[in-house]
Formats: sequence, C-alpha cells, structure tokens
Amino acid sequence: MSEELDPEAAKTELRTYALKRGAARFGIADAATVEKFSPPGHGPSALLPGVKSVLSIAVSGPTQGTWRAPAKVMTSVGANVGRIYRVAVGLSFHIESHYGYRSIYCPPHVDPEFGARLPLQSLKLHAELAGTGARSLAGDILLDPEYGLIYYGSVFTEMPLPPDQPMAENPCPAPSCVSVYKETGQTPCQKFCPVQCLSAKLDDEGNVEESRFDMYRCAEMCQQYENMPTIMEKAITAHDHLDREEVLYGAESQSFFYKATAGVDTNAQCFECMRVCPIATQGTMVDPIKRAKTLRELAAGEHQEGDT
Amino acid sequence: MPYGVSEQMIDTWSEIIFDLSLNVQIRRGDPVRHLDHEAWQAQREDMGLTDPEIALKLGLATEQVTFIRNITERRRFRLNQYRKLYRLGGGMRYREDRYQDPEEKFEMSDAAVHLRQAIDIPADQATHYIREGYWGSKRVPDVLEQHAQNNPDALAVADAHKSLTWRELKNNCFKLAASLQTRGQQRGDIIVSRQQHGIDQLTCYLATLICGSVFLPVPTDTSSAALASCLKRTGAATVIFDTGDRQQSLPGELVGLARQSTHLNLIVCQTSDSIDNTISLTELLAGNDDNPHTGASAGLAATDPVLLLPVDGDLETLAIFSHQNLTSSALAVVDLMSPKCENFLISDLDFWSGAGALATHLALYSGCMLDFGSTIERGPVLVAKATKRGLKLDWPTGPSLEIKCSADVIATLTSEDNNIWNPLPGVGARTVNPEGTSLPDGETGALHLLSPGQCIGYLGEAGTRRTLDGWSVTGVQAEMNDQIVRITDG
Repeated sequence: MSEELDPEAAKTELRTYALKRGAARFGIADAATVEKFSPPGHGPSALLPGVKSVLSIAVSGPTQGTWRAPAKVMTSVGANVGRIYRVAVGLSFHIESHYGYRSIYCPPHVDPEFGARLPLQSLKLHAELAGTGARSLAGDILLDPEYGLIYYGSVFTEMPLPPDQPMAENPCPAPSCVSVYKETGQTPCQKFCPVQCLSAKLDDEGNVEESRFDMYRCAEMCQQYENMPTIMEKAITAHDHLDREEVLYGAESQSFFYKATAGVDTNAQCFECMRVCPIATQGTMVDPIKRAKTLRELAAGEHQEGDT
Repeated sequence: MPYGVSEQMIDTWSEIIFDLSLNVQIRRGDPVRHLDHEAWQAQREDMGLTDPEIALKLGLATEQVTFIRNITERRRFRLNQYRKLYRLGGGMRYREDRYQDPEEKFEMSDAAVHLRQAIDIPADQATHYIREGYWGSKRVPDVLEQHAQNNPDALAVADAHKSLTWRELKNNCFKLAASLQTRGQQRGDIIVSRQQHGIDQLTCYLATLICGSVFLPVPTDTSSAALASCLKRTGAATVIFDTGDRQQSLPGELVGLARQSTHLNLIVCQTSDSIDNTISLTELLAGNDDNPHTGASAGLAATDPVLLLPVDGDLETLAIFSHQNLTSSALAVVDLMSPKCENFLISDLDFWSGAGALATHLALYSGCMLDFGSTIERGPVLVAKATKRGLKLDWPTGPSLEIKCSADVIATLTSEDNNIWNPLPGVGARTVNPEGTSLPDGETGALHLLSPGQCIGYLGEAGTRRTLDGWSVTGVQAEMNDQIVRITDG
C-alpha cells in the first residue's frame, strides 16, 4: 500500500478525516525538524523511533456563552479537549489501518520521571512547526488568527508526509493590544492575569522583543497537582485543630477533593488572560454562532475554500 | 537523605535550578516560527531547560536536580491563589491593586483572638433568637448610615458647645475610622476610651464599630495604674483619653507604656493639639479619607464583638456585647416607647454603665437627638436617668418607664410600677431555689433572666454571673406569676 502512496493525496485525505471528526485545524511537521527544536529526550523519536511526520490537530475553544460565564464556571466547562482524543486517536488508528504505517497518539502528559511540570512532549512545538498556531504573549499559549484559543493533539507516524510551514504571521500581539501596551506598559493579558505571571517588552513596531512567563505562578491557578501535598503539609503543621480542619475540610479543599475524586479537570482552570485577548474571543471563527453562519455561507459558495 | 541531597544543598542550588527550569520562561523574538535554530539554541537556558540539561550544566546528578526542583516548586507554591477566580468573569476583571485575599479580612491580633475565644453563646439560645427575629444582620453603624441618608440635616447629637446633624456625625465617624485604620487599627482590636460621655466619645464609639474594632469605655476617674493594668490585660491597641482631669502626667505615661508594649500603638488625646507625642483626636477627625474599609465587604458581621462594659470597679471583668445584643435591646425598648426623630433624649449617663449604653443606643435606634446638656430649644424631651435597677425614661406626656439593665445584660424587664416588671420580647425569666431548681409561680427565689441583650461572654472571670445553661444571675429575689416578675427584695 505504501509503495503506491501519493503523499499529497494522503495528506488531503488525512486532513479531511481530521476535519470531519471535529478538528478545526490540521497541519504536518517534519519529525526531523521537530527533533531539532526539542530538548534531548523529548523529541518525537523518543516515543516512536522511526517517526517521519508529526501531525498536529487542533480543536476550537469554548462557546461564546462560556466566555461570558463567571471564572469559577469556566474552571469546569472552559476547556474543550474532548474532541482531541476522538480526532487524534482516531487518526493514529486510521493511518495504520488505511496506510500501513506505525502511528502513535502523542500523550499530552507529564514525563513521570520528572514530576508534574515537565511534559513528555511539547504539543505546542508540534503545532508551531506544523503551522496550526503561533506563540502568544499569554504564557506561550498558541493562538490561531481565526479560531483564537484552540486545543492541540499530536500524532506521530512513520509515514512520510509533506510538511506544512509555520504561520507566516503571528497574530499576537493584536493591534489593539499594542495600543494598550503603548499607553500602559502592559497588554490586556498581562494586566488582568490574577497571578501577574506575564510581562513583555514590545518594540516600536509592536513586535515582541522579549516576553517572560512565570510558569510557576500560572501553575498556582492552572495546575492543581501540588494542592494535595500542600494541604497535607499544612494540616500537619497547623497551629490548632480549627486551622487543621479548615485546611483539610474548608471549602477550597473540599472543592479540590471533589474535583480530584470525581474526575473533574484540575488543570487549565484559569482563562483570564484569554478572556481579554481579542484574538481568543473575537477571531472570525471563534464564535460558534458566527462560525455556523460562516459555514452555511461557505456551503452556499460565498467563501473561498480554506476560510475555515 | 534523598538522592544525597541535604537541606544545605537545597539552599545552594534551588534558586539556580528553579530559574533554569521551565518555571521561568523568557523568550526573545519568535525563533521557532522563523525556523531560526541558532537563535533558538542561543536562548535555550532562558526558555527553560529539562532536568538532565540542568544537571549537565551544574554538575549535579539528574535525580538531584529533579528532587531539588520539585521541592523548590512545592515550597513556592501558594495554595491561596485559586480563590482569586471566584469573583472574576461576567464582566469582572482581576485588578492587582484591588484584590484582597478573603483571609486578610479576618486577620486579627492575639488580643482580638483572645476576646473571640471568650465568647460563648449556647447554641439553642442563638437559634431561638435568630428564628424569632430578635437577632439579625444589622450592625450599629448601619443605623447611623440610615439616619444620615433619610434625615441628613436633622440634629443627631448636641452638647453645651456644639451640635452635629446625622450627616455631620456620619462624616466625622467615617473620617475617624479611616484615620484609625490608616494607623493600623484592625478588626477586633480593642479601643479603650477614658472620655467624658459626649459627642467626642460617641464619635469615637461609632468610628470604632465602623473599623470593626471593639470599644471599651472606662470611668473617667480610672487611675493611671488601673488604666495601665486594663490596657495590658485586654491587649488594647488604642487608648483615647480626655485631658480634663488632674493627672497631668497621663499622656506621658501612656506614651511610655506604648513604647514597651507589643500591642498598644495609638495614644489619642481628646484635644486639638498633640501633647507628649500623643495624636490629637482633632487631627484624626480632620483626615481627608472618609472611606474606611467597613461593612459586609470587609467581612464585618452583626455577631462581631463590639462593646465591652466593665462589670466591676477594677475593670477585672468585662462583659462582651455584639451588634445583635445592642440592636435587639434598643429596638425592643424603642418599640415600647415609640419615640420620634423630632424628640430629644437627654442623657448625662456614663457610657460605661449599662444604663448609659442603653440610653445611647435608644437615641441611635429611634433617631432622637441625643442631648448631653445643650441649650438648644427643645421639643418633647425624654430624660434618661440611672436607677437602682437600671434606666428610667421620663416622658413628659406619659408615664415613666423603667428598664432593668446592668453592665452585662442590656434591657430585660420593664416596669411602670415600682417592683412589677414585664419581660421585654424574647426575654425569659425564672426563679430558682438555692439548689438551682426552678420554682413555681408565687414562690420567691433568685431571679434568673435569659435575654437577647445579654452579653455573649466575659473577658475575665464570669464568676457566678451566669449559670451553666446560660441564664444571667441577677442577684435579686423575686416571685413570678404568669411571666410577670415581682421583685421582692426592694
């Protein structure tokens, strides 16, 4: 089967497969290029030694209603990662069964050898090189100029496929954010971050000279992996029984334990930088209501292919 | 010693490991998108290294780096940040300069904690008072704001020298509260007042409550030694005193005491000028800020302790009252008397007595002008007088009303006829024999009362003032008939 492979046709077929299953974006990076930009031991070959291509798929963010919800509601319904598994896992099986090349769904998880803050792979790197997103000032979150905030999944395969290029333009910072920066010294995402983990210096043209992301601060909001041991230690060292009971059974601990035991997400809990991001909230395809209209118009021939 | 790592090694390496790791990510330009490997390589350290890379750079074992990094992350992790999300969204954005951690609202000094620990309300009483509506969410300063809004230009208080409308009184109180808070006054802190009862003391009292602090009026003839002892014992943060006494050395002594104290930090003199390094009340009242942190948004509540009254001469034991105590007592009597806002209530009773405190709150809750001896031409006048049993209100057009009250129970029984007393709404009465057994109607015994105006605890020894089941021991003999109390020992 592989001897008769038309790489461009296969790429188109895989793209169609991904989009039909719910992907908003689909791109391919050359595995060797990804390897070149990966820290040792964290390139694609660490998972699949004969890897040739890295497929990056992206699904859209939450609904417009969700963006308008209180932050504590977004903590539970803001993330929209469910479709990633359907698309990416399905894609990996599809490549093996349809084209006969070994494939693997790239786990979006931490490397168990090093704790909770070092990932096995950088899905953002895959997406960046596959052209499905570009680094923003908001904690290196990748943004798409039309879909705004999107969620990523990756598939590694031994199948050689024609790679895409990184985005020609980075949508971040948006012109309105540059204006705010020039007035206040901060972009909206920096100003409204609850833990003030973002800072940057823009040049006169609004390009990013240097950006800083204090990931350890962001982790206090977005990664509750350290809650459990912190709660335990505070309980052990509490001054009196009331303090101990508050630490163990207070509202915040209770809600954390609820999430942990009920299987509700304990990561990606904070959306405040994205909530004020014009790209994340106002891109042409961000709003599912407007998007449906665009897609109807597309079906009626009022848009060019590729608009989605 | 995990992986051969000592605490000293953590001290040595934690910061550089933390900075080199992914915890801090600094990026220049957009090298990956531009496929600029050289630029990417040049800023690898700033973008964050993996543990093996850090180990290679520092000459440590990878396991040691991983251990030190994880421990450092864990030590820096703040559990109290996630709560910032609770008030965001729906148009609300985070503002660094406006956020207050909810726990900060409830930060209290050791003395304030000690005071709270002295509060002990039987659960069944609290439930009863809440369910029957005797206790609610109203705080004493709410009444001030209510009058200032509804009758801003009506006279609120007057003495021989000056008078204030409700609006002026409120403004003064809020300015003073803001000034006190600026100088470190916190919720639960005790403010001791050795002042003559009058406009200034009333202003100090209300400002104290606006701050969420606790007011302790003491007799103006309290000696320096007794005052110093009281300040130490209560852990008071502030003392306000007037200078109309013979103790010229008092300001200096108090300033000296504050220097040695870990809790006393504000000495306020009721003068227009500071003397002996004290702060003048006039200066505090002249502040520009009239926006103190107060009310529900500051975490203040009606159950908070608010007033301490000395129940003995040497200030060893203090009765603790909450907003709920004072509000319920005042409203019960106001309902009975129906005084109107155009009335005057003349009182020269000391605030530190139960009768004086009740008279003050009657004026506040009714909206009467509280008159400390002004020369203002008056309308109908209520005159508050102290009696053996408590407070007597002489009403020019009707019968007088006597209210039984003490320094630890504000308003329980009322009487229009000498020794025949009716319990106020919510007040329970019983007579008991020496063994503490309740007596039937008609039999004389010790009178016990249970009241929503009863103090919620004692700072110091309560002694025999309260029974185990929470009843107040009045010290008088009485007999009861159908809930009517006849005091039999004169």
